Amino acid sequence: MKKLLYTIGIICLSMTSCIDEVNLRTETQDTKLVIDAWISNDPEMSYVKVYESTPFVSGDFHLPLEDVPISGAWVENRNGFVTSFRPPSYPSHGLTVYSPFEEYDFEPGDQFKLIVILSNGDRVESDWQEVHNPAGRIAFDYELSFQTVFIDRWNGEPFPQRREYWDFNARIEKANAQENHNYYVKASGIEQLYTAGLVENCTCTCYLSYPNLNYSLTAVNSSSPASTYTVPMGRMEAGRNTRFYLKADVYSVSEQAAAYLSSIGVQQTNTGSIFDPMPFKISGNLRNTDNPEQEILGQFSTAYHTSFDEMINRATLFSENRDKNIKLIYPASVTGSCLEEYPEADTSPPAPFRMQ
Amino acid sequence: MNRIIFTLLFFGLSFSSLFAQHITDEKEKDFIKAVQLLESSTGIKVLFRKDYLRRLNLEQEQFSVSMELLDQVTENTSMSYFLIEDAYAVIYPRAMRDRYLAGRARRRADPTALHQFQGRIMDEETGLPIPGALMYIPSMELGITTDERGRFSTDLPEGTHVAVFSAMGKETERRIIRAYDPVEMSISLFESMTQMDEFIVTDRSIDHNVRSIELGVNRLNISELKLMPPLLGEVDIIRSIQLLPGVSTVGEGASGFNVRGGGVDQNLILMDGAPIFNPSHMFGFFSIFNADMVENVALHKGDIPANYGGRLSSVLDVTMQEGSREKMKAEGGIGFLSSRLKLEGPVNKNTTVAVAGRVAYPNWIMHRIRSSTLQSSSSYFYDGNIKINHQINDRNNLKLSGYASNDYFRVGADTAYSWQTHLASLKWSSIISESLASDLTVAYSNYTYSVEGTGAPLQFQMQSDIDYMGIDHNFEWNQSDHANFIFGYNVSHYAMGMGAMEPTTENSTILPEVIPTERGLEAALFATSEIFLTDKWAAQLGLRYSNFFALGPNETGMYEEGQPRNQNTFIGNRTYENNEVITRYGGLEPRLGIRFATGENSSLKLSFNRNLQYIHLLSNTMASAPVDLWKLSDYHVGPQESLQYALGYYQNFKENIIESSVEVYYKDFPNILEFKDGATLLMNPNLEQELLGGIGHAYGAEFFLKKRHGKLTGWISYGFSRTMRQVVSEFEEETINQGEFFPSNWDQPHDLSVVATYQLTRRLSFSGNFNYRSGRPITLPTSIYTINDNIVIDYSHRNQGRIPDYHRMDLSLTYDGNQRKSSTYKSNVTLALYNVYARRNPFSWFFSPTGAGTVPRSYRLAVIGTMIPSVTYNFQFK
Repeated sequence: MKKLLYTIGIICLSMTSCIDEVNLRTETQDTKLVIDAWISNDPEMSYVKVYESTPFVSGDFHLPLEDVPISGAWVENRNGFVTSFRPPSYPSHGLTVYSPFEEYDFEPGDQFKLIVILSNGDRVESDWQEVHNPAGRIAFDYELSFQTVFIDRWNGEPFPQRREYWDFNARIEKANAQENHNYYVKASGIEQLYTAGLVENCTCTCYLSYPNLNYSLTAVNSSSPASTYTVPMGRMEAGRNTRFYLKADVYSVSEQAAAYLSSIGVQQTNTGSIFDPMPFKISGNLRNTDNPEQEILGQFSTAYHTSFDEMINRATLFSENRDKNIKLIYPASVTGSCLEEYPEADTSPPAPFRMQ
Repeated sequence: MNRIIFTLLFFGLSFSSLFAQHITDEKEKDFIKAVQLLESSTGIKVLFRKDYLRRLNLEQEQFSVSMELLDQVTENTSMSYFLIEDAYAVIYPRAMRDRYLAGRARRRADPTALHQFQGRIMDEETGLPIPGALMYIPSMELGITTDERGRFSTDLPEGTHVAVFSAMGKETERRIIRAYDPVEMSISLFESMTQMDEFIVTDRSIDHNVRSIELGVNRLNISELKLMPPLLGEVDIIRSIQLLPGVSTVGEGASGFNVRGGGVDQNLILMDGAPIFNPSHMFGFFSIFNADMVENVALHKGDIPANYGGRLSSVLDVTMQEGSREKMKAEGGIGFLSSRLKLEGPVNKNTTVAVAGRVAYPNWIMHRIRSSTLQSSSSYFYDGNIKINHQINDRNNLKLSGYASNDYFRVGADTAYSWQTHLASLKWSSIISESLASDLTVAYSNYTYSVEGTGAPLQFQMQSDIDYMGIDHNFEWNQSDHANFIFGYNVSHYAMGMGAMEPTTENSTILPEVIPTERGLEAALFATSEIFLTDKWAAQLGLRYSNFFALGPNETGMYEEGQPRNQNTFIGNRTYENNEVITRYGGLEPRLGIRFATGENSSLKLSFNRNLQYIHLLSNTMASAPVDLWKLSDYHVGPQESLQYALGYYQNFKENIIESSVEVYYKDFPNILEFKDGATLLMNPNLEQELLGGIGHAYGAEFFLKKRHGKLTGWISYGFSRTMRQVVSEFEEETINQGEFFPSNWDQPHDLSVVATYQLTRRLSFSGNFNYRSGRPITLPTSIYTINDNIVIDYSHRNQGRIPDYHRMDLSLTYDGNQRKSSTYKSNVTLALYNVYARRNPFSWFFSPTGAGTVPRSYRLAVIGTMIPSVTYNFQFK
């Protein structure tokens, strides 16, 4: 009888809420001109891309974005100083990335505007974007959290196991009290992973890179008067005693840019529940001045870069938190290489691990 | 006119056997003893309604035990009696017959014309005729018993009569007899399962839908509702009204309902006069109304009477039950996920009490399911009702009603939602004179919700609450038989907590923040009158004048003139002192209803009304959620407004057993509230920057066919409706969809419902319902692009796509245990299957990344994606 009750109850609830994939393909070829443009003190974040958006095909691994030819692209500041952006000397795969051709000054308080001349002569302009003060001091902290996971067994029902995690956070300090917290944050990391080899010359240590620990765009758009703002940076398993390299790249952006980027973050974390906002169009700061009816997607932003990194020794954290009863995760057994267990990892130590 | 009144009154009667009554008053007890002696000595059974005891002259030193007893107690009273074949004596109000005769005298039909009325009275279970069964027509003092073959025959004067069919141990049946030709009918009587005094008493005639002036009104019978298939073991009022024409929902899990193109905030939901701000438990799977406690449900969706106001689309007025006057009773139900219990009874001669409670406990199952999300999730609710009724004297009555509930919901470990409702109302009904009566209601309503985040380092609690206090004073003046007049006033005070955030741990990086509470006062005067001009023409005229005052203390954001409201044009805040009037809105809200009787069983109705709404639900999520914010009109946000024009044709068939209607409507929304794309509504001190004013319209047609009596009962309803909105501004950022009309989130053009209950035997009944409706509008992706290697979806303009259509069938079977009249314990078991064919009706589509560099996948979320069985054991102690 008890079994019957459970069975009925489980039927009631376990399958109640269902999420299925829908193979949605947009019927209309409503692609638009996109400009993804940045200027920064970080050379990696100073570029212009001009291309056509591509029709939505659910879960497609291929993103067939295609360049849109242009006659010119430059950034000018309030003093009339112009920095042109030019394509690379040697064409490469993918979209053309236009980079600054001349040196430019990039100081807090400066204001920049992007101008792109399309091949038909139309002029696309952004609004003025101010360079904001870089973030002040950045520091990491870690907090232990727990989650029940179910381990599959080959001969029976999955069994529950409590797992412990270190949640990373970056505490970002304001440069000055008058500024708001407007940041674009990239959280990345490299995890060292051990395996147990069955042969003597086993390559048993791997390094797994996480280019985006949060799996979605992280932006802060807050008018909080607090001097520091804490940004979640992802998590790592606490039961491993290997090292973890954690890096935060923090870009100070304008309030408009922070709101724009936050909207992308909201879009990427939508789960369709009643607590999530309805899907909405995200509009940037670009206009075709010759054809105002044309919708231009994308954004031009200024971004003052600061960064902070830290090599975290989980063995140390483990020993400092013995009272938390963290269970060790034992290394997986491999025959000769950790790549058997972690095929996406790398066996040669990346720079942060070579230096320390 | 009198005939209508008579019909109204008479249909409200339910006669009661003396032996079923439990009367506490000493004189009444003595009278009953005398009646019992009379019955045993003469063999004549005396029938009367227990309410009439107070109208009899019982102040006798000694009661006669002969037939003189009936003369003795009816002498110099408004009551009379008549004898039927020396077998029955029926006591009834004298005025009923007088009015009937007066009405008949005015009628064109020849009163001398007689038509034969004959038929058989059968036993429903055995199919055999019932000898000695009774057919009587109290208004004519006519009654006859059936012969040994269950047959009866008599002549009736031409006209419409209400006949009552009864037999010992059987339930009473009432039928409208239209004696314009010879009439023949067969009546099947069920075995009496309940005490006769428990028949549903209503103040409405059987053809009320045709005769009344009101248009677009649905009244639900709670006993009918209880036969509908339950979800998770409970029949629910809100889910049931969603099967009526013109009422819809955007999906399972959404709070509230939509009426004729209106938002969920445009429905005034009242429990004993106290407004409800969230009618749902567990995201709409249960509603705030415990079906065991509900007495009456009336949904006004077309012609909202002038004494109601403050909402644009509908009024759902729910009256809760009073306790039994006779003795203590208990009833309840036990299910896998929820249980409920109700106790009721007399406290003393003049006071009764009813209390009820419910609790839902899905956790014990959730925590046994092997899912980390469900194991760390939790959901429950409990609620309780109380109603105390005190009869001060013949002319004054007090009713105190209270309600409290608590909901908790947590999915995963990080975020928990909880919400509480507290309602209280005190109603003083007073008969001031023969023609003037008043109802004074003081109501309090509080709704509080909180969101608690436990994910480090952002541990927080955000709380918001609504405090409502209101007075509603109605006077009813019955000026003549041809007109009545209702007038009065209502005053409501609102205090809307706009959000308070605070950290919940020492390590939390959340800073405490409080958005100032909004306060407002809404006051209205109203008057309405029903005028019966001729037999065919009747009208209802109403006028409401409402005023709203937004009050300090508060701050109002000021912006540069001629510029869009945003942070760049924000100049600063203007501060208002306590009780200082920030702004005032108001206006006349006329109501007009006209009825033209196109025939004995049909009528044409027309209505117009204007409504103003000063409070607004701010929701830009997939559906209305329990943690959505309510806001008052203020300096920047004016009242929402609607003008509704409706036309309806009503026709009843087969002695009013089948009723039908067709209604068409057009609603104009000259001012509605919309939101900017991706608006941030919670903890926003400058909400006006996210809100946009717009216009809209809705139109539709509704078809309704209902069978009220017989083994098979139920209805079929179909509604076609469209609701569109438009937001245009000289500023692009304050324009939606480039100024074009777009469908609202709840625009679902087709809505078909079929509801049926089949009483197979006295103990076994089946019921089922089927609902089909068009998919709700959504905003679909058109293309994708990247920003700094982050994939971004470019969406179409708002609501240009639709999710697939919704359809669902539910079935249930109810088996009644021992239901004999003499039994003190009764029970039934209901087995229900919700969503029988396990359709995964989509609630929403969403698009979520599955890995770096890949296009997001499109997903469909079905809140209830499978068939849900439930078994409930219901019981009753008497």
